[in-house]
Amino acid sequence: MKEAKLNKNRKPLSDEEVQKAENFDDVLSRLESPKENFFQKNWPYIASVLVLGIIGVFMLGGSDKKETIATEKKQFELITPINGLNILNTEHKLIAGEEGQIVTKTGTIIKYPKNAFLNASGNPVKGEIEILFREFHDVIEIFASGIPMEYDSASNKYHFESAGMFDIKGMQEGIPLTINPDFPLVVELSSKQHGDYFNLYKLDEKGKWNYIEKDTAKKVYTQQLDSIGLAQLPQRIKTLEKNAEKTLKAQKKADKSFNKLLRENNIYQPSKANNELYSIQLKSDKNEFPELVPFKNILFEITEDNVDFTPGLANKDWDDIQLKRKNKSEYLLIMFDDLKKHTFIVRPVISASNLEGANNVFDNLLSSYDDKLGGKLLSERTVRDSLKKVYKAISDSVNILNNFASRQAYEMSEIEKSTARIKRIFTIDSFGIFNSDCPQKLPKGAVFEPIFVNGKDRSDTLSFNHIYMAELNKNALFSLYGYWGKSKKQKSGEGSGADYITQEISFNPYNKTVIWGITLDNRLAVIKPNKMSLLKKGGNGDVEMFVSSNEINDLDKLRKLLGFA
Amino acid sequence: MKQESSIYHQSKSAIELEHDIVEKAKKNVRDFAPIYKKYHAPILQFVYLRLDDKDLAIDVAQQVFLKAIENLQKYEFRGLPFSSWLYRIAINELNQLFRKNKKMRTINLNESITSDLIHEMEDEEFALHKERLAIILKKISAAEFQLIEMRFFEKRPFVEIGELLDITENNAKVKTYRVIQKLKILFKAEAV
Repeated sequence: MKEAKLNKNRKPLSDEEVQKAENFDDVLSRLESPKENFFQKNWPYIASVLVLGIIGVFMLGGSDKKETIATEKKQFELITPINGLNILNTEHKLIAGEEGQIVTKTGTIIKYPKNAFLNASGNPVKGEIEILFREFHDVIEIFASGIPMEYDSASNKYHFESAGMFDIKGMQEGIPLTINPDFPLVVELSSKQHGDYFNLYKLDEKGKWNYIEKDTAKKVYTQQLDSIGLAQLPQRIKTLEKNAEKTLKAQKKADKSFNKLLRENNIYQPSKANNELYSIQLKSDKNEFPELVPFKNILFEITEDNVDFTPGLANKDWDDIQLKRKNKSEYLLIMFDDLKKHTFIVRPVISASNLEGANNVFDNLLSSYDDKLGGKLLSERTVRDSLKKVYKAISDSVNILNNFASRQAYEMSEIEKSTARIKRIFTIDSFGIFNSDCPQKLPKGAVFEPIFVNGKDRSDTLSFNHIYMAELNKNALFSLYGYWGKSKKQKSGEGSGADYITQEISFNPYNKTVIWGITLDNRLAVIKPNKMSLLKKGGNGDVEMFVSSNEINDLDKLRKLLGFA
Repeated sequence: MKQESSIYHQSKSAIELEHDIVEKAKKNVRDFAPIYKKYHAPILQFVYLRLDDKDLAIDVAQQVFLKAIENLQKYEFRGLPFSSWLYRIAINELNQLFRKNKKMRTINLNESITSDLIHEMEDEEFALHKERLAIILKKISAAEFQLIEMRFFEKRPFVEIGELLDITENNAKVKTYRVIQKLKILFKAEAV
């Protein structure tokens, strides 16, 4: 206050003076005619610029598109805090003039109506255009992008808590486009942040955020994320299962019909022995059972129907064993001893190792029989085998889709648990950087005046022009501007730690806070929450920072380093 | 009719009535006139207390209302009088001015303020040397003087000081008390 002027017993303004100064219309006129005032104040300059502009248009013939575009508002130039680390644009090619939508990897949807894009002359664009889009969802992405997060409301400074931001541009052959205000785009931004207290803002060409409107962000749950049609998958599987069921029925019918033909013509079709059932090797009578004659190594399997059979019976010495035909496919095995006759139902089978040879024999037999039956046998078998193949193909598809659906459902549920559940809807009639945000005041509770030093070498005092602060439970990036660093004395090799220039930093000791910055000699230095908690009583003095010696060229690395992962 | 409980100098119903006017003004700025009428004088006096130039004070006060109207859509009602928002705009406008020219800052001391402040310092000896107060007030920082100015020059309650300076009521009390302690030390030092 040294330079303040001191007045003693100065009277306040009198009622008359106050009344004279009262002029609401003057306030309104300042509000309503800024352009007029600007023109009035600057008319000589404006006139000269207009004259030069007109001359310029004549000299250039007025037809060069690029010259026209030069009148477009430039986007605010963002400066990324870490060289080489940024959020890159994704290019989406589309046909202008037609309506459609773009779905990004995060599930964000950009819907564009017909004739949504205009060229520099204000005419709707036709043909292929490029939409450049990037989105920012967490503190690290916002920090890396260099997007300012301060908001000035009537000279009151706020910091944004973000529910998501995006940057969108349109180009045709490298020439910027604009959005037709009559046909705005709708951006459904995937957001990780819940809550309905966010507003829509746009960054202007001077780097200031302008409030657009409230309540344009709406909750939309994740079924809209289902760009791969996962929601329709169960129905598709159900339809396939029904088809499989029908095919199986038809296949069984064909199988039955084929087997009937075999039985009617007394043709034995080899079947594989069941390892769980008992089989006996017997020599059968060639005349009584001619169907078995072409096959070697036939076994007689005791069928599941013989509930009284025990393996001990097979090892017993029998007085006599007889084989009789029960029906076209089954046989009876009758065993005699002194006292009793034991009868078991059996069927001829082939062991697994002999099955291939037996099938070859069967195929040859079938061809010779088929001639006699006028091709009926082979045609029946072809129908049956085709149906078998179709059934297998459908069953495989069902299995694949079922596996896919359960895997996707799991992944979706994981995404739902951890990431986007809400979409915030923006209707935009211009390209640029948009933000779904809520203004916040700087955290308070504890205050400290640091001398920032390198934790590995306390003689290495750190200098910053800009300090960043974030709380792990909030998606807000707080920017603190000023100077923390060596004084001129220190820089010239004189002076002590007491000459360090510092200023107060306040934070909320009840939240997990991270503070970091890029030093003037380009090193990333950070104080993680566990170290911040040591500062909750405030005070002055050395504050150790972890200084990274590695190059930061990866967002995940940065997340880990700052304690966000 | 029973008076409703109030904060600052206004009843709850008066604050709500004011809010209705602000909501109307959001749709049509001309409806802001009653607010301007109500607060023009206190805002102008608030600004003039901190400046030496009368015309500049009138212009800054107009600028405060212009800023308020321009940002009316962003105004969020928090149950406080609209004046607290206007005072905060005024503080910011003045701080911008002082950043450009520190000499614009003015301390307007009078007999009554001096007596109140001396009384607060609770030392009879100080009363004998009131003239020292003008000297020591120039030795404290702008932020410290702001607290003294609001509390003793403008007689504001701590809850309002807290709201205007964006600190808690308790913090406003503690900080003001510390400044008084500092003034005591400076007073004694001046005597040596």
